[in-house]
Amino acid sequence: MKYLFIFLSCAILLKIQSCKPEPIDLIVAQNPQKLAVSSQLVNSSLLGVSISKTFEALQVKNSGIDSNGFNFDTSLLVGNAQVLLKSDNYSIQLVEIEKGIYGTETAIINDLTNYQLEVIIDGKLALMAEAKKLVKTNFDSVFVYKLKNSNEVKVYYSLTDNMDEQNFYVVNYFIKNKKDDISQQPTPELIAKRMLEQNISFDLLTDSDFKNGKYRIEKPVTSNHPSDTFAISISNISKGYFDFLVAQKRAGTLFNQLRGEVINFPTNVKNGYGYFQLSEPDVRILDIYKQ
Amino acid sequence: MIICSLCLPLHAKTFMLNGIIKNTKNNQALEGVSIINKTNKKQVFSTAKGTFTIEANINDKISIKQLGFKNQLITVNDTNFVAIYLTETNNQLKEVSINAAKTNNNLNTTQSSVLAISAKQLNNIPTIGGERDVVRAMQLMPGVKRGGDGAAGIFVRGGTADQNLVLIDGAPVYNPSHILGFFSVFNNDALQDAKLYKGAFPAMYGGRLSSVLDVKMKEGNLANWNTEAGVGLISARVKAEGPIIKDKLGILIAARRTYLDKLFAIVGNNLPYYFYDINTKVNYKINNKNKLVFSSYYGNDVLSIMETANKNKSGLSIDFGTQSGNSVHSIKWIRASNKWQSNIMLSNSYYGYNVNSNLQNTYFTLNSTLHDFTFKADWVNTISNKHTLKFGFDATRLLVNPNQSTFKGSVNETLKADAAQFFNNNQLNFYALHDYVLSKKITLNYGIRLSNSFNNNYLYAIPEPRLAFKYSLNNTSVIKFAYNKMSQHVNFVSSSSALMPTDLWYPVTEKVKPQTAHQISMSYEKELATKGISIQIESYYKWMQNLVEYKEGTQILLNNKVEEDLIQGKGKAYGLEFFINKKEGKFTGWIAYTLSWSSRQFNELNNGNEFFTRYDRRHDFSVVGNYQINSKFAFSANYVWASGSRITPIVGQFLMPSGSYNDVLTMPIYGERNSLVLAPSHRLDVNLVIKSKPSKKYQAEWHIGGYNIYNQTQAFRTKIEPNGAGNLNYKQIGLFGFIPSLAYNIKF
Repeated sequence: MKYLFIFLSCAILLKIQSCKPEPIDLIVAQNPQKLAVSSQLVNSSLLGVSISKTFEALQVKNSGIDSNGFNFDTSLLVGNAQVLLKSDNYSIQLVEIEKGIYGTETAIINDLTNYQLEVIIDGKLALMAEAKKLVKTNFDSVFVYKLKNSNEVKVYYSLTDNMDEQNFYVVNYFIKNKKDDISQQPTPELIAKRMLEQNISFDLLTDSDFKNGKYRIEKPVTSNHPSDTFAISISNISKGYFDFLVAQKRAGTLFNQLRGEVINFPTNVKNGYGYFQLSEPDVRILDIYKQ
Repeated sequence: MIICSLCLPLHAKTFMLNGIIKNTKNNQALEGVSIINKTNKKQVFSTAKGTFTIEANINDKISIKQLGFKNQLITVNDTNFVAIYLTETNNQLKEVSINAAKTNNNLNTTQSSVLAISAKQLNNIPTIGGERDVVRAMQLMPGVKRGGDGAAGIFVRGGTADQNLVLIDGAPVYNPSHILGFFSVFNNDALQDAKLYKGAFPAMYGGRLSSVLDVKMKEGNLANWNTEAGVGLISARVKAEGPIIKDKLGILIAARRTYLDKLFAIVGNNLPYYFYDINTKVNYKINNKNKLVFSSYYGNDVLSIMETANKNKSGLSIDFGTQSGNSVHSIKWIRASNKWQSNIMLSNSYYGYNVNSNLQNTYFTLNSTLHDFTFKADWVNTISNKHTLKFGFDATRLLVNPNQSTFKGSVNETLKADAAQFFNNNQLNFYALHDYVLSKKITLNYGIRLSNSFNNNYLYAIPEPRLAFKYSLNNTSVIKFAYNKMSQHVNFVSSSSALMPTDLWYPVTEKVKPQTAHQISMSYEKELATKGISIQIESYYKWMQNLVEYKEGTQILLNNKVEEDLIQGKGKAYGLEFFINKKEGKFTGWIAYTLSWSSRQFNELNNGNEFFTRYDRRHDFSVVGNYQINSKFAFSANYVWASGSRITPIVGQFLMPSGSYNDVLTMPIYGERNSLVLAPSHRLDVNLVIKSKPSKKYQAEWHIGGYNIYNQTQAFRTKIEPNGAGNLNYKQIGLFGFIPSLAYNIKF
């Protein structure tokens, strides 16, 4: 009886396995193609803007960064566009540096002033976005050092917050950091890192992170391939761009990717996607071994 | 068998006949038995103590009916108190009777929006793997929707899974499911009675917005010992009940355990998962007026993976395990006299999970616990045949300690354990209601519940009016109306549709306000007494405030700041429910259809626009039939058709540099939240019951059946697959196809 039951159970388990129902096709209507914008202000006169096209959800587009720099699918980049930066009584046209990449080093971008970005294609206004140039924030102090007999780099920095207003900051860490290869031999560190996916390449700070207007942190930046130099920057950003970066961080976590969590990216672009922002970073470049 | 226990001369022509109804087999009182005076057409139902009072004259014919028991017809003589013993009609192994409310034929009460299933129906309803499940059976009823394919969670009238108050002998159960939500924690062997209130909540119930599932366990046979055992494809179970002191002290113990892990081990494979649960109930009859009842449930889901480095393909040694479970204990003192009945209960409900991991000498533990201590007192005063007064209070102390994590080893530098958070919440609720028979046609039930929740930082006091009204059109049909307000002071934070072991309960805080809901419902009920058929048409409208969601992308696990990401919004649900139920005869079953809408609005989600809920299945249709071919064979089948659940589609993508400018990311563009409806799901399940000839020693029963016998895909999730032509397509994937079932039960 016992063996009969075991036999029956195994037979039924096999049957269950063989009876997986056929998947059903699903048609998902796609949005019409639009444009996406990103921007970066290097200093108060040097601005870069990229313009690209959206694409369908089922299209595979290779993107990423390799030894040659950014690896865009160039067919998505939008060339021959007229890109204008405007404010009251001021307008400047950005020059196309490469296909889809526009820039200027002669812009006059003043603190606490609203600027509009207009993209005109074939004589028609394709998109518009508006951003306010916030006052630049500087580090109070920055140190970086490499631990002995280890690849670990630690960075220490401190900031002072303007306590009269609500502020949002992004801190970027630049280090030659070989991309994690998921196929490599998993180590506990790698698994843990992938599990939480704490993106160490940028941090987001709000007023609540400051104590009496001061923020000090010593942060480990683990890397298997530390370079001799390390760069860190801080930008005082708008609430909207802060939310955009929060969404970007959350979308990158393994948990959210596994469960297909819906994360919408906020945008300030009318008739398009992405984010137009004019935050001016305080960049510090440091030699690790000299610190 | 009728025993006239007390005979008094009657001086009036019309008088109130009092009585008590008990089960011949075990001397236990029977609740919800229909008592109809055939002469004056009055109908009442026995109380939880089995007592009843009905208007009668000498020589009136009184009919006593209860599903699963032989009907009785008595003639009233000069006795004003009768004790009636009902005998079970068959040797069903399952005695899940259910339904004090018996709402479908309960034309005499104001109660509407309540569901019940007979023991016989539940016994034969086809299920996954032959595991009979009262919650899964409820999914086949109107107004109750299931989540994903096979899941045992219920979504009642546009609510969420956590908005159902699940009570086992009056004590709350915080995670009422096993195997990630595929089976409920209720072992049918131990079930006595279950009711699901979808609305028109009596004032004694509160604490959740959408429903109350009130499950009572059997009390233990005071007369004879009997044992039942069964084995299905998934679990094996055993139950024993009987008297320790005859007619005084009875005990019931029921246990079950999944055993596929053991079977896999025999054939050299590893299935590192099992669950078990144990129900215990002790029933001590102090005297005719007082009784003490101890009830206990203990259940656990265990996952344990242990592999040495040389066994594991990756070369890592792994020791990983999770345990999640409930333990619920209560002790109740029941006291009854002619006019008064009181219940005093003390309960403790615990729910917790823990995760332990040792990966290459890197240790990680994660624990979450919830303790609920409740003291509850209820009184019922039957003032007269026209007036019944109920009142009481309950006090709850809730202690929640979520996401306690510890790390040791090399990973400790990457994963830092935050200081564990601790939440406490006190609830003190009062209620009173009055059931008033205004006239032959009109009955009114009105009351109020005052729900209070507080700790050092906040105090919420929410009055919840309750009103139910019944108007009899004639002897066989009524119209009912109900209004109620409900509030919920503990919120469930989950990233999934089912109740998952790692989901977290959070009480209200200073920031997170209690959820509230108002509901109005109106129903028409008709009883075709001669054919045992009842018809019910009911509509409802529910509007909800302070519903709790979390911001997009919130990480729930290992996040001690979840509260910062909780958001509150509003919602509404409305619909129409049809229910035709045949409860008597060789052929029994029902047809249920629900047409409903359910939506939410949160400022932080979907650009602040209103959106439909994930399980907003517009149409939900089910047919359940059971045919008793003869005393040996019974065949049953159910057919279910429901509109698909909803997902949020990706309607495009764009490329953006990452925040650190060291990468280019592909970013999805989502459409409106839950705007894409998956394919409708439908399936046919069957079950054949074959009984052996009853012998003096035992009776055996085989169940042979199948779930989803034509192997239809019940769209559960979507997946991107290559279409063979170099492009990709979306596919809707089902979880379960055809699943055969086989079970063997024996009773001795």
